[in-house]
Amino acid sequence: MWSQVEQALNQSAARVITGFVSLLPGLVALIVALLISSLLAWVVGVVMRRSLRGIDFDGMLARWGWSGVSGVSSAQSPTLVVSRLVSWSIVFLGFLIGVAAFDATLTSRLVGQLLAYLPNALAAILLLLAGNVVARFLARSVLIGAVNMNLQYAGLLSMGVKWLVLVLTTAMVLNHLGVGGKIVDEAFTILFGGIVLALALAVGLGAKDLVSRSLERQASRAAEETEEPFHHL
Amino acid sequence: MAETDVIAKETKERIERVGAADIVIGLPACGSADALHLAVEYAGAALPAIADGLKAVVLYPDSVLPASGAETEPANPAAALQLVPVPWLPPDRLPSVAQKESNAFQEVFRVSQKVAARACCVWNSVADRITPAAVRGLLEPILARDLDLAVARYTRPKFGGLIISSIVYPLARALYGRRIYDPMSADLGFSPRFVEILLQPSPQTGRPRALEWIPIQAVSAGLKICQVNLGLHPAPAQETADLSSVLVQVLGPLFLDVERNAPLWQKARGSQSVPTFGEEVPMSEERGAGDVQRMLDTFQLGYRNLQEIWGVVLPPATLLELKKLTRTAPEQFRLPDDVWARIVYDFALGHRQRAISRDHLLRAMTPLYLAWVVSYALEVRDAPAQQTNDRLERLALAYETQKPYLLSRWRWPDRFNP
Repeated sequence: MWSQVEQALNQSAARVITGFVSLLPGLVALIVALLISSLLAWVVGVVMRRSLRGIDFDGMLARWGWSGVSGVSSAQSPTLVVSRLVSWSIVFLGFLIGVAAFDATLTSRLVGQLLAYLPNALAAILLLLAGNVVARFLARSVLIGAVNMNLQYAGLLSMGVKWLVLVLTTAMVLNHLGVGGKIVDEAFTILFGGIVLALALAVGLGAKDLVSRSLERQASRAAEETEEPFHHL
Repeated sequence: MAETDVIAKETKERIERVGAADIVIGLPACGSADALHLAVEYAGAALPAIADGLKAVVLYPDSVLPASGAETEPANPAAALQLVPVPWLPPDRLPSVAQKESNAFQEVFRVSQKVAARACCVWNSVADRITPAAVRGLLEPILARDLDLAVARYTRPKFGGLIISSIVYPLARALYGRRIYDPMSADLGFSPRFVEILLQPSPQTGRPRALEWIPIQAVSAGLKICQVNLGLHPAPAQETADLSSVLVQVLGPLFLDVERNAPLWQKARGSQSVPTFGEEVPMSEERGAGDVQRMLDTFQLGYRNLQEIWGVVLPPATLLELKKLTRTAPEQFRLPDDVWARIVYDFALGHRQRAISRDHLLRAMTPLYLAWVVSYALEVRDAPAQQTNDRLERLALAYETQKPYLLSRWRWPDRFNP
């Protein structure tokens, strides 16, 4: 009986060791792939950082109205964000190559799904970038315009425009990524409809006196302006 | 003669019939037949006073008179005066900065070259303000004194032409070293030498020159300039465009010019007056400053909301000065000249660096400009004309004093940030 137990133990130990040994090359391949991709990511990251700094990427983005990107990405410059994004993508690619050493079919399935999703993800990123730029540009335009028109609620107006565009962008991005399904559409419709209805009610019922007073003030101001002695040209 | 091909076909035919002429007078802003009749009458009266036997061509927009042409044109008061219609578009309200006017200048210059004129003048402000003295004033320095550019100078009311008084004149004077009181003047006289230069492509771009800030172009070409006193400024048209748009339209091209001419103005030191002809009409003795509270409110609102944008171009020291201003009682509200000069220089630099969208940058300057207007209005509201002129002279000197600040920031924008 003891010999049978010993034989069973030997067999199971041999199976475990054989299994482990069969995993070892894959594991080593994963570690090597990760090491090489990390090294490559570091090199590419450094080159990218220097190149982007060379072309004043941060300045370019700022000029396009993207000056507040640091606020979105934990106080880092856009150059750092982009170079780290590229570096981590390379590391992730290395990881996928390493995983392929274990099970090629699993990886090919994973990669296939990822590639199919990639256009959506890229389009979503572009949408997010464009939305952010448009939101900031419009917010700044509205702020300057409202200040020059002497509207006391200029800041509020500008912030409202900014968040309106950002919310719209987020809804579009989520829709594009297929996250949340119809909930996003419905939530957005309700939110937007609610805001418009609330404004309509506020102006129509609650604030009609305020609006009429404001319009009267504007009208009398316009009449006064014609008599101003100041000429700028 | 590829250049003359640009002249409209009908105009070209008329010009060929005219042959040679001594003078070309362009009236691109002429808006009615009556104004044209008057302008022609005055131009005809002015010519014999300049010299005997002068032959002149008067160019006017073809929209002024019906298409039937010669029969309806005004009676020619002097045999030597030839009228030629030109297909000009209606004039833009802003002088010298619109492309339309640039095209009008081009047309006058090409005709002037074609007829080998010894002088030409463009009358771009309201045509019914033209007088024999004005025509003579713009042409005589060119014909008799061998000068290259005659710039009309008008006396403005105390609170008129404020962008010119507060920014355009002192900036151009400090940078280019010539005291030309109205660098935006729309009424100008040209020598053939200057016409030839203006028709040459821009050396920087190789494209036709933008014909704006012509006095500055004359300075950069090293030509002889004079200004001619032509009395009180024509009553300003009601400003329909909002102030921030006006600032964009005026300061945008001005700052671009500052950028283009950086090598020139970095060498210039101090300023010199230019020969001035004609008697200066004193400024009217108007009193009171109107209501400045609204402008003050806009500045205060701007300070509360536009800090982020101003902070991009203005150094901390200037922001601190502005902060102090916001806490000043309205009656004591004064924007120091040196601070204002530095603000304008900083915006010129910000415009060059494209720190933010140029349109946003210039529009964001509106509350600061209004702060200057308030400060000036409160300071000179009860001052006589001479004191007001002295006040503006002090401002121009402040621009000159602060020019090293601009030079430092222009050359080392990152290192020099007080």
